[in-house]
Amino acid sequence: MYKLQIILRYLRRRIMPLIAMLAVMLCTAMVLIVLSIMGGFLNMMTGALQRLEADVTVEADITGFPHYEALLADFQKLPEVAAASPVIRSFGLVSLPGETQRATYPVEILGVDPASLNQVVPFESTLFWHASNIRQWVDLLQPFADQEAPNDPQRLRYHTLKGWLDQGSFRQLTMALLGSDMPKPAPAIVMGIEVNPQNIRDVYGHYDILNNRTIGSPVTLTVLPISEHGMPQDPEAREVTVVNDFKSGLYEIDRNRVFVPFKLLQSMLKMTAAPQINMDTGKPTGRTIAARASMILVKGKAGVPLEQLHEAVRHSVRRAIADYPDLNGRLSVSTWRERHEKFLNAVANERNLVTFLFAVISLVAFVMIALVFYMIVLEKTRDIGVLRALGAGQLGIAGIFLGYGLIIGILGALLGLAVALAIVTNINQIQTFLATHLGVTTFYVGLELALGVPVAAVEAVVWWRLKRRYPDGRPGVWAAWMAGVLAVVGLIGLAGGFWYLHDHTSLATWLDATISWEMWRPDVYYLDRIPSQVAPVDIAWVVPLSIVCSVLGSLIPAIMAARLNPVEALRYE
Amino acid sequence: MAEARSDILRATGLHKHYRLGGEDLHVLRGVDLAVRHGEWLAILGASGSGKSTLLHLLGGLDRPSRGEVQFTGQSIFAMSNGALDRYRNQQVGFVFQFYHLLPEFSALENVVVSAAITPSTLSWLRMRRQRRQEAAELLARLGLGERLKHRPAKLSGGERQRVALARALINQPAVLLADEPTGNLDAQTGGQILDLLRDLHRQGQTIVMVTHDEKVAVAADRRLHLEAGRLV
Repeated sequence: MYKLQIILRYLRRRIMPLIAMLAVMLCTAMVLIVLSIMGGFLNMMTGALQRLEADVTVEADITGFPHYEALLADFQKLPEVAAASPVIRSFGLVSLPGETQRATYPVEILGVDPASLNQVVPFESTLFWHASNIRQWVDLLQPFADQEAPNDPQRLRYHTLKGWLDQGSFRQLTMALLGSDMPKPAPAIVMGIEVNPQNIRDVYGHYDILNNRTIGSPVTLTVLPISEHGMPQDPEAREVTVVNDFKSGLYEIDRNRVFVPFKLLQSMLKMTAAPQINMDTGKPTGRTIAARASMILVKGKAGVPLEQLHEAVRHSVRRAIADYPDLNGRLSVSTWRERHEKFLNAVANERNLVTFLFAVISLVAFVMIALVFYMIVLEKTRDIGVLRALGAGQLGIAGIFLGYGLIIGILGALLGLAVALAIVTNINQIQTFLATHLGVTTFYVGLELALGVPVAAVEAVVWWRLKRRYPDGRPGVWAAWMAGVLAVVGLIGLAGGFWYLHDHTSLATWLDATISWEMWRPDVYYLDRIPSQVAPVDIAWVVPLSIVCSVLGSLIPAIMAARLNPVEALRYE
Repeated sequence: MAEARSDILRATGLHKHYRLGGEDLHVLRGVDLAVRHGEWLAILGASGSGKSTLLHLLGGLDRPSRGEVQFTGQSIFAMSNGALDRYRNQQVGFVFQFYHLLPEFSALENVVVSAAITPSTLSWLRMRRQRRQEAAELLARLGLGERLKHRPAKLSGGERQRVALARALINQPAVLLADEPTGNLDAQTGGQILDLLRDLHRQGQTIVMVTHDEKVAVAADRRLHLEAGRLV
């Protein structure tokens, strides 16, 4: 019983346990922060990948493959399959209207059926702009609404956007526009958010719709049809209306990919069904070339193992080849893991590296805790001798230090958890602060120090003189007075600083630009924000592990303490 | 025979070696000693004569190289570790020259800790209030009734030694072992501590005190000299 009493007293009355607790707290927080952010990046990357990729993909080369409707119908009948969607994949050019001249970019073009695609991958959730964004433009374009010239682009854009707004949910509208063959005023296109250079990511990692003058406006899409025999034909250009942008989170994809309606791309690439023509005579042969697609995306039912789905799709493809010999040798079937093996291996490597770093950090933490406890035992050696002389046993002494380690471990780990949660959940705000307001903050802190330190020094001298002259005085009253003086000086300093900077905004701008620390550039990096979540799984093992580490760290010093010769401990100074 | 039965502590053939920097110090060279029930025994010796070592051996705080110590006829070094711990806690009370109080604890708590060591958690919870009460009364009897909540750093040397004395007495030990109890105090305060010991002795407390000071030793019933590792 005396042990608990001693532990609690040591905790309250010494600086050492505070240091030990600080050590445990910092180690716990450090591990949780590293784990959350490093692991968070990897999870963001794989998460983005899974938003883009179907479980299993059946694809041919760029000329596509016929009889896709039959394959699709067969896939949809498979018990392992939840949904399947046909896709045409090609490459082409997108021309955006610019201030003076058009800007043209090469892109990967996917012709999709959005309704079925959304059952295979969460396509709708990657659409970026909402009705509230569009409303900003509608309000801005309001003055052009009644423009005389019927073909004025601003007027047309106003009416397009206004028409969309009136139709309710903007994402659903995007899906509908992308799904219909011939919407007004032109077929729809959804571009990757980084395709359009007007989409500027600011220092906060945000995009502003008002920079984007393309939403609701026409752009030109150019593709190069390839004949079934692989011969390029005349380029095909079509005006399409930008209805939305999408953001998968993977920069490479968002930089290069656009979505258009399946039927549109099929007809532009001349992959629709057509009568066969004899190349020599130029006359129809009476046979029909089947319509083509370039891939079918398949999603498995929940709980179906990836390999089982893979096998079922492969089997179905073999059956189709038996029915349609012209499919033979054209189709490959692959899982998303196979398609991204390199990337996933890189992620796995990264994880192993993080685990290794983590092991090193943990070791440092452990040694630190053990050292602090060793110091505590040294500091308490004489007390140990006294307690032994009073009849405390070796087990009792060991128990004191182990219990001490346990309590410090629990408190430190919980504090560390709190610190980690506070930092990780606010990491993006912290980075913004460091990158944008550090200069002005330094100015204020410097100003306060310049004012406060001399005042505090004078007060210290006054205090000393007061104490000498009035030994029985009332230090509480003096302290209150001095704190008041310091606070008033501080407030004057702050107010003065605000007033000065308000009149010298260029100084503030210069300060913020000069003194800043960018741990992360949201406007240029691959990902637009720092992951800011602590996984409960990580908490569930890091916090108990810290506690175990503190107990283990206190174990050796505890055994040492128990084995001290009490006579020597008593003599210890 | 009657005398033998009233021997409370008996040391026979005690030897103690120390290894100090490769040198073998033979501090005690066959000490025989009998402490009678209720007597006040003073052991005189120069510093380094091994008188503290002898006291530590009598109190079971250290083990002899050879020889044994019997408490009421039972050899204390033949006991289990737990029993020896209980012996130190219950049967003897140590008072040191440098007080050796726990600095984080108040005067009262320093005394109570000694009472809390042996009982189990449950029985301690039951007896805690009563034991605190006893400790407070004991301190009051030693003239520290107003100082219960003070920590050692706020007490004078004499006050600290009185707290240490209370701590040694709280479990009503059979023998009080005092190691230069006045060695760190001025003559007047040391005299007060000696007066307290005298009172205790009058109430029947067995005391073994080691000192180098003849003037202190005169207060005792019986004086022995430790010279060259032997009692004379």
